[in-house]
Amino acid sequence: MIVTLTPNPGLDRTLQLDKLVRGSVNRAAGGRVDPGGKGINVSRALASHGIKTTAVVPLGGPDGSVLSELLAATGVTVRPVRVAGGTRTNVTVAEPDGTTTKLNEPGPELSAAEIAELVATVLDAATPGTWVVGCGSLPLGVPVTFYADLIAPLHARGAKVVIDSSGAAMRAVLAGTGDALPDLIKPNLEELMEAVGRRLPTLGAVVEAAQELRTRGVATVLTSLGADGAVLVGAAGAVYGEARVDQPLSTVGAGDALLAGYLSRAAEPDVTRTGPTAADPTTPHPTNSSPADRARECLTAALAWGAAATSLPGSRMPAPDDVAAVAVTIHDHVDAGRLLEGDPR
Amino acid sequence: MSELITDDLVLLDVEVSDRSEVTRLLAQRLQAAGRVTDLEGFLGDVRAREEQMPTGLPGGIGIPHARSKFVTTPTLGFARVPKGVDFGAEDGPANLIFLIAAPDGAGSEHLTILAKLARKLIHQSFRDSLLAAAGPADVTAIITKEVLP
Repeated sequence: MIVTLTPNPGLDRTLQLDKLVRGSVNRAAGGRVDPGGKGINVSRALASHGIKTTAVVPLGGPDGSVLSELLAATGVTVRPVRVAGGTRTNVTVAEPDGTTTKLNEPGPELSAAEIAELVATVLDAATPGTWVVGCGSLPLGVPVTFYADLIAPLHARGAKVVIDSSGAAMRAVLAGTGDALPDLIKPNLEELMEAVGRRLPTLGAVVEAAQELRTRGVATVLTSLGADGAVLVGAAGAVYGEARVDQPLSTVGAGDALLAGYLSRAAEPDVTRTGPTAADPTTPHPTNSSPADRARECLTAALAWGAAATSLPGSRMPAPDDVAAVAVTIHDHVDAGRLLEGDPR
Repeated sequence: MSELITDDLVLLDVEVSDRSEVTRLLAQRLQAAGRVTDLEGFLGDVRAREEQMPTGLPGGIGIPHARSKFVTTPTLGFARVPKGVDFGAEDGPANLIFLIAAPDGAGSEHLTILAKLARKLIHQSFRDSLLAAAGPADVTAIITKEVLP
């Protein structure tokens, strides 16, 4: 079972406007509402592949109810933690020329009691063999050590821990030792640079940085490199691959889809599928494969899911058919001198 | 606790002109089964929810639903509409309609039902089995086996 934790979720409302004019009444031609938040995206991507997943989210106000319903309709089991403040709505204004303007609310401030309830709910969901995936920024009122403090208690319950965050919250996580370090992190290039405190101009530099984090005690580092693909550095060494789609539309949520794709393979046999996923190109797969083969399988799924997400508008998460349309290349050797040019994702 | 779905809550091959008509047909069955106390009151709650946001899902699915004080017990009604009826999904009309009715204040039970159903409905094979079901008892058996508990 894969449990995601999104401490600062929201609704993403996208409005289509011919042209945004400041200081005047702008009438939208159309719009849509999607669940928003990195952990939520991971759950949505897993659920769209029929993989059982639970999303732990603080929810409040009318937008909180809408969010829980939207998530349920995509097949995600919601473990809500009721909070007094209203769940936020983030507005994206999309113009035909490709210009997007984002207006983000800060989100509700959580009280100490609400934070305690959130922690208790996550720990309760973390049965042995569960993968707990903490993603995204922290809401107001939540200490920067929130993720860092959760890791050891989750490990004590027999869960595996994945953290995908940035800034102070991630620095606090990486400052941990031993049992308090996550099993997996999924930085993008920018976040990896932040973690090691230097620029990483080449693939070789990325692998070195990831190895450095492994030396500190993070078992696996999956770095997403945008258009340059992704590198997986773990016990079986470094594996590098790329994926292409014909027409990239939106990189929003692509990193989350990439993480979900990785987990769909790496969390086996602890993932429960609700039925056949015939269109998934990476099934079936041998269970007795070597660690190196497993790493390649996991990275292949990650790249396919991540690239598929870029072929979809907004933060839409890929379904098996979208993933099947992606061509993935796993390189036999990691070309250390390769210069990285893709945008950080 | 009573069953979530029973044979009398299954309508096969109905012809309707719009989503409110099929929702009404199902709600009437729920009322006849004693699961809904006030037909118009319940339909008002379903309509209010439907107006917030369409409940159509990709693959020919409509899931009208509401928590309502006029519902006595969590219930799932099912209708098959071969010609399709619009539920606002981007990829076209719905052939498989699920009406989820939950008592007001029943926590997140209706969301759990919705999530389980949605996870199953991703699979073509599950949808096909409902499209091919020969009678109400088959539908009840499929849903009870696949979606519950």
